[in-house]
Amino acid sequence: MSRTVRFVHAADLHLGAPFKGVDAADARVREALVASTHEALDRIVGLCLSEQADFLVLAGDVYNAAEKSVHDQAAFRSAMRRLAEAGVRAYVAHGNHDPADGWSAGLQLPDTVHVFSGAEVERVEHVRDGETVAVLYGRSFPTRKVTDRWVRDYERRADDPLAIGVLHTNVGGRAGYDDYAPASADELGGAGMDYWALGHIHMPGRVLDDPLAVYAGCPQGLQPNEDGPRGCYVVEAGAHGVEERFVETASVRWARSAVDVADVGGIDELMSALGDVCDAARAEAAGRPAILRLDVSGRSAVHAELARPGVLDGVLKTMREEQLDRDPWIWVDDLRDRTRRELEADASRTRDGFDGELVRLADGKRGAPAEAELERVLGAVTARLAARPDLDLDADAVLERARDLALDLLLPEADR
Amino acid sequence: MRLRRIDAVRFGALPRDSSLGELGDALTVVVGPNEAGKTSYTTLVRHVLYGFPNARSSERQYVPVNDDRRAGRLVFADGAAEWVVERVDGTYGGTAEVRGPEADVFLERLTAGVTSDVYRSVFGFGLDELSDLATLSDIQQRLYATAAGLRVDPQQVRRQLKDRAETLWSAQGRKKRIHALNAELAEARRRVREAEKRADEFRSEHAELDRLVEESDGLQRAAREERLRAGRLTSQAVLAGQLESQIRSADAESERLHQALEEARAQAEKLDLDEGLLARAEAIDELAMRAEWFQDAVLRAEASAERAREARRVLAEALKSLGGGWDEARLAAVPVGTSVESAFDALEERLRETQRHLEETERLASEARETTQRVRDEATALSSSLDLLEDDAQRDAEVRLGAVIELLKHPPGTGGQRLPAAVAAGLALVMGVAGAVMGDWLVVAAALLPLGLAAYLAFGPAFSGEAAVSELLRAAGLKERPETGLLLALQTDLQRYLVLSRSLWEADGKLAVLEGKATEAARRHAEAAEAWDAWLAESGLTDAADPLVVRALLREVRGAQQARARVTEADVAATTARQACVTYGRKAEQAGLVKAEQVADPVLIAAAVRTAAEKLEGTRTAGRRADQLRAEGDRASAELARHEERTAKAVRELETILDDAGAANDAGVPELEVLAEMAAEEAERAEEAAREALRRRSELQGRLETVASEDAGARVRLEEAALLERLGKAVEEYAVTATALGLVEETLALYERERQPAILKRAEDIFDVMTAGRYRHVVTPLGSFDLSVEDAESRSKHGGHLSRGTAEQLYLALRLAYIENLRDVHRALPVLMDDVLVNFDDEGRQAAAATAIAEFAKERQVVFFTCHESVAELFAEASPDHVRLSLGRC
Repeated sequence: MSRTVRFVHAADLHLGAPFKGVDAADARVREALVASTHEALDRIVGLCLSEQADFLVLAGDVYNAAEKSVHDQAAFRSAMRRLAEAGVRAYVAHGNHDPADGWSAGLQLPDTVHVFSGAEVERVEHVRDGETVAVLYGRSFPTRKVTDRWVRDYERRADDPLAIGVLHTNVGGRAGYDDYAPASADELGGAGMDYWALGHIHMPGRVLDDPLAVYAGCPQGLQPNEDGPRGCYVVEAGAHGVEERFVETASVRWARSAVDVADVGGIDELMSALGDVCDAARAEAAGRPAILRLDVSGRSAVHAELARPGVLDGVLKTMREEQLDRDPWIWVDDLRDRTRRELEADASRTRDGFDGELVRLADGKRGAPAEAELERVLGAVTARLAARPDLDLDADAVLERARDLALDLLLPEADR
Repeated sequence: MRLRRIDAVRFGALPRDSSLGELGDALTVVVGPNEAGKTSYTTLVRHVLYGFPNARSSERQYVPVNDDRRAGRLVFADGAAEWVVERVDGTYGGTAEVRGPEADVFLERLTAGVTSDVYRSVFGFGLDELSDLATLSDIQQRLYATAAGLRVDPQQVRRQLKDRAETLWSAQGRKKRIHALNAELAEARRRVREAEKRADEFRSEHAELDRLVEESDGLQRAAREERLRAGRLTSQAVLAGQLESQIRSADAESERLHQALEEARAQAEKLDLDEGLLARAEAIDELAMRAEWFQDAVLRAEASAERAREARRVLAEALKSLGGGWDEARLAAVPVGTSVESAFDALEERLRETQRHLEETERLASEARETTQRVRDEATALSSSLDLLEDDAQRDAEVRLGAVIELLKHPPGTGGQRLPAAVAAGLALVMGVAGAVMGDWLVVAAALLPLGLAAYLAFGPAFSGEAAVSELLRAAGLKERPETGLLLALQTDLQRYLVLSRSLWEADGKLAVLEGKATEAARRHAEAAEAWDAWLAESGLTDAADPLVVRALLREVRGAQQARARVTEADVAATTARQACVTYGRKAEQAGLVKAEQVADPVLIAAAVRTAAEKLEGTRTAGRRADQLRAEGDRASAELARHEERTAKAVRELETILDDAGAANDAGVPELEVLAEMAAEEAERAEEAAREALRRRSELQGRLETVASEDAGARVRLEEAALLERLGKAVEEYAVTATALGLVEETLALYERERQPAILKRAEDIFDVMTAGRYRHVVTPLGSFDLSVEDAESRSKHGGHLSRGTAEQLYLALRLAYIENLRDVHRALPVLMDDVLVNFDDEGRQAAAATAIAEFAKERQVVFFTCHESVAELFAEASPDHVRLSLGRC
């Protein structure tokens, strides 16, 4: 590689993807979220132009075909036109969320956009000033579910000046993601690529140092657990080798934080502690607005106050109002009360009274009985719901919270 | 600690300041007739502990006979101390005054956990209160909470949880929170489906758009081509018309050109031209052109001759003014130019400057000589008066001055130290006289020492100073020391002489320098005078040496030289002008305008030249007209040829256009115009079709772009996500609440099934004793006070169906069990019962109750009021060590 090649590697834009697990009750927050994936795309395009990139690589899941969003596909076409006007080519692979047979608005992309074939690993030369400076190997998801180990079909040619593998894959079977186009680090290393532009996993970062294999991550976090900086990579390949540089593109940060109330004496102190956490999250977000999920945990007298009807909602409402007025704003998406009674349930467990009987009863329900009970309760409630929410409830945890709730009422503050 | 005495200070019908006491540690039975005040004392204890009821209360007021303020006192005591609680009626029931150790917390501790109502029902009760136990919710709650080891009623908790759960969801509910969220979610999902449907429509409409684009593009292309064809035909028709017109006008123009050509040729032949004159045209033109110059030359010759004459006259006068020695030759010898004047000025300045410098240096030298002489004369006179040595007066004056200065430092009479000498002599004298008087010779001898010292101080230094003064007088040239004033005058003269001597030396030096400068100035002035003379000779201006005279002479010579120069210039000008006139005449002769003898006659020459020039101009005009006519003929001929060619080309083009348009061979422009109109109509139809297709395309495209720009789907999906989130939280909260409810309900059921409250168990025991084993069990569902009893055969009987006596036994048993269970209530809080055994069915049950009460009193003090002696005796049997008190009728 005698000549330097610079390109931008992004993936998992998920244009139009529904934001899960967020209660964006405020119009400003809704508008920011709706615009965020598109703004991230704009920033990627802007980055290509400002970095004078040779080309852009998109490793799958540009949009969510299932959402049938014309607007998103039109926006993608518009972005590709901007790149085309600047003479920047784009190499795009379909992923499991936008497979080749997925819903399409039928919009024609510019000729400067190359979409990898779904039939086989395709080899494409990138020519600059009449000279091939890079070769890209890639394959699109023809359909949503791909379980074959495509990585084994990637093999560079000896005369490739710079070989880049583009693959939407789950390397190492990472939990929480569908195990599509599975690959291992050894398989990536054996293909002879100089750089692997990977997609599918939303957390950015390296998978392999040599050769460099990188997940671009999603350029805009889509749900509460996709916190921290999100963006894409500027990759530069030259005589020094291949180096990647992360650039944040998200418009809105997701953040999670917890406050331990062990030393908190009351609601006012709790509000102050929550405000401090928000300030920290705001500083961490580096000038971006943020959506913050707060967990309040620990044992203190605050538990009893929060357990009173309306108190937790009141605290959340106040926090939202305060933090939305700040610049940049923070939307406190949820304030989960995970506080515990000051007295451990063990104190009741050994007592002969009603509470002791209740605690022992709850202890006996752990495991299968609790699961059956939860399923019974949820089954009755969710049977006629328009959609079943993604609850992800642990039966034992629910049982424990129910036990503590009962104890809160049975053993008010005066008992302690 | 126990209650020892009850003092009725002012209370109801009780005598003022009456007391009830000493009460026993365990059971005290107070026997008295009706109206003896049993109920009053029972009530008074409660009022002192909790306050008097206000006038609005429905409770009996126990107002004293004289309407005075109610007041009472309770005296508690243990082995070591006594506490007095006294309350007088007042605001908020009156303030209790407590005396005794830790008085401030005594009452609070005593009544902790027992409200006024509970006290009235449980601790200080009569028959009226006995059956009211079931209506006291506080006691109910206490009963079960205590049974459950809690302070709150589990049934209340169950209801709270049930309310919470039902706020979220219920099987039959429609407006619960989860139902409401579900309805919103269903609506959001409906809108999502609508958005997706619109996206599907977009896709098919986009395909329709592609087809419309292709169709409209095709129609536009066809319309463009048709319009081009129509335009082409129209252009061809216009062009054909133009060609026809062009052919017609070209024919007419050719005819006109023919005529013009013929006319030009005829006019040219009529013109007469003098060829001889035209041959000399160049010479005549030159002479005519210089005719005015010739006239000027004649005039210049005459004017120059006149100026020469005037200049000669002026020159003659100038030479005459200069004098006899001057003529034109000498005048010419004097150099001209500014350098002569510059040299003159420089020499004159130099001469004047050296003269001035010479005079100045001579003046300074003369002044120096006078000054030197004056100083010398003064010094000589002073030397003589001081009698200084003639050959070395200065050295002599310096020596003498030094001596005089030294003499002035040693004034006369400074030969010894006279005061110390006198002191020493005085001391010697005193010692000597004292020694003599005392006859002590040693003292006399010792006086010799100060005496010797005095002699030394008085005379020793004087011997050495006299010699030095003599030497100084000699050096100063004095025989003896004069007065100090004279010495000072001598010092001044000597110093004055030395100053004059130094001034004279300096004046001599200065004079020698000035004399040297004067000599140098004289030499320079001589050199300047010599250079001046040499310049005069060189310039031929030897008539005078004085610079002023020479400057005047030079000015006149310059005037004469200028006059001579003007003579020469005028002569040359006159000669030149005359020669030019002759030359002009020769040229006129050569042109044949004058004869040789007429060459010197300028008037004749001028007239001949003018005549010839006029003739030549006439001939030339005729020649130009002839040339013009020939050129016009040539142009008309060429234009004629071009017209004929264009006409032929237009004919050919017209034939081609008609062929292209597809017109018949014999067709013309009108047929062509018809074809163009038909093509235009066809183009209009094609364009209309293309416009319609484009309109439909734009409409569809606009609609699709609107759909593409809308992100309503994203918003509604975000709304759906929010609703799902809220729904999830609500469901989660419901799951927790419902599970908690289930736990509480299961625990309650367990209690009902397996664990009767301890109070009920104890009440069962007491009730069993009171009913002599008739009833074994007391049952009540947890959370209600729906009492039932079971007999030995487990036959259940509802509390409402019991006889009054049995029911009162049950309530008394429950009350005693309840109080026993109140382990956190102060042991000194007494129980006062007002004849509660009267309705018991038989004496056996009364005795059993008395036994139960006596047993109870071992743990908590009991004061039992009765008006029945039989009851008192039952107590006496049950508790022989009880205290008995009596009350008289009030």
